[in-house]
Amino acid sequence: MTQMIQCYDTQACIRCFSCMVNCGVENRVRLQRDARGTMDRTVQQALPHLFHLTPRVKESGIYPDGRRITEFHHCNHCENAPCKQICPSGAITQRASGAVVIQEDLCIGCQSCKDACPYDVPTFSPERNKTFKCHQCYDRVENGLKPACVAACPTEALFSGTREEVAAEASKRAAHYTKATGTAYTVYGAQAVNAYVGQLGWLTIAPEKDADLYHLPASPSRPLNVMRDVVKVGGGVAAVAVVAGAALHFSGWLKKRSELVAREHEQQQDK
Amino acid sequence: MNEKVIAFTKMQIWFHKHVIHFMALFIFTGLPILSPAAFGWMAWILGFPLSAVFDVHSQAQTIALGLQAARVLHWTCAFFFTLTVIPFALVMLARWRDWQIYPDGIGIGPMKDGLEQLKRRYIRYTDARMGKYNMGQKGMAWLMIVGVAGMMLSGLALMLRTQLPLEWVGVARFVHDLFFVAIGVGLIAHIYLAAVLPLNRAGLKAMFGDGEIDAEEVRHHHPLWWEKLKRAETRRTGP
Repeated sequence: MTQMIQCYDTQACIRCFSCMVNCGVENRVRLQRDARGTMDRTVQQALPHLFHLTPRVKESGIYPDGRRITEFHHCNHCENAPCKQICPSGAITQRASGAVVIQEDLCIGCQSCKDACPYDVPTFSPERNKTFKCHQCYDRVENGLKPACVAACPTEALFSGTREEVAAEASKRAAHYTKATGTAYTVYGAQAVNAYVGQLGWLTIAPEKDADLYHLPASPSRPLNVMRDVVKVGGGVAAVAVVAGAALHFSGWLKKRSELVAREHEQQQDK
Repeated sequence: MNEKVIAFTKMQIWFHKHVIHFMALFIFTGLPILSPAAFGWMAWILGFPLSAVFDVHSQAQTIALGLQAARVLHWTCAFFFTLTVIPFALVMLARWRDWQIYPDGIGIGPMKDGLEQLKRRYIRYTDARMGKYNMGQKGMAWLMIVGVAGMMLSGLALMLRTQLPLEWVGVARFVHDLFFVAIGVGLIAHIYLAAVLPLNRAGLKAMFGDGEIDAEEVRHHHPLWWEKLKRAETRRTGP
């Protein structure tokens, strides 16, 4: 299957939050589809197992230059998915479409994925003892539909398609905004961000100067997680080296011991 | 009857025995989470018998169930291990001046001498001038003290992770894994040198027996310790 990705255009977004509402609604419909519950009335609570998009509204600057920024917090469906690599139960998989998905039945709630994710995405539900995040509506995408958030967006600030289509459209929009506003716009995630995450399955068009405000780090990483991997490999090597050293030492001791016994035997015989 | 020296107290023997089985359980339940690729089979061993009781339909679910069981066992062991450590730590800390694991000196000279004594004992198999513990054994003791303290504190932080900032949890996880690896590698060397290699048989018998060693063994193989014991005896009884 071709890789399917989506993009968020911060310039076209009107902050209506239809995407957020539809994400919650779609997940509730899934519960009905899977005969796991009935439709909840409310979509206001950020229930981790039903709600995967979170707008984080913040203010930047001081009057009269102050402005409101809405950081759109969601899974980026990284090419190298650090959450998938750290998951001890293999609950996190990457589908052919590119979506990084936590399989609820295999999740043990250890929250290792939270330790690995440089974007602070996975959300732990203490009630369910499991961790949840956006799964890019892979069930819809793999059946020819758009993700629920994309389908809900009235301004096409959210759009999806194949990687080539989305990257081309995002690039075109970023160039247009750059020319129109005189501010440099970037498409975050179209190229590999760094070796830790790789390319992203969710691109973002945003002003370069506001990258920090939109939580689009230039080099997303969890250094402690990287060091932990080094310790694991180093420990394995050290363990093998110690076992080998012990085996070598013991064979040396055995040789010395047999020489000593032979000498004592000779001395006894001489007597 | 041979004169005997008390090498290990009953408290030390008791604690050491409990540490052995706790370490085995911690390692068995911790390895599948640290390295699922290499040790996932341990999670399967735990999960397979439980799969008869729980609603499990695949090997992946069996392993997930085993990992969950490993976590529960790990935390339970941690609780009982803490109960074991507390009395031991209190007793040992009360007599911290009598510990035999302090370095004989600080600096390059004493370190070189310590290494030389180790070489004499374990490479050339000749007599060495050492106290109750050689430099390697002292290093292992300090690794265990610092390592176990680090494991307990970082483990507690990981258990309470939902109450702590994510950055603190990241540090706790790294510390936990670092000391796990260090203790694990140290234990391989410790088990070989203490139990497999016959050079320390007297100590092994004392640790798993009545705690006593022949005085002749001490005089011959641990001369600095022998001198310390004699000095203490002289102070008690007079010249």
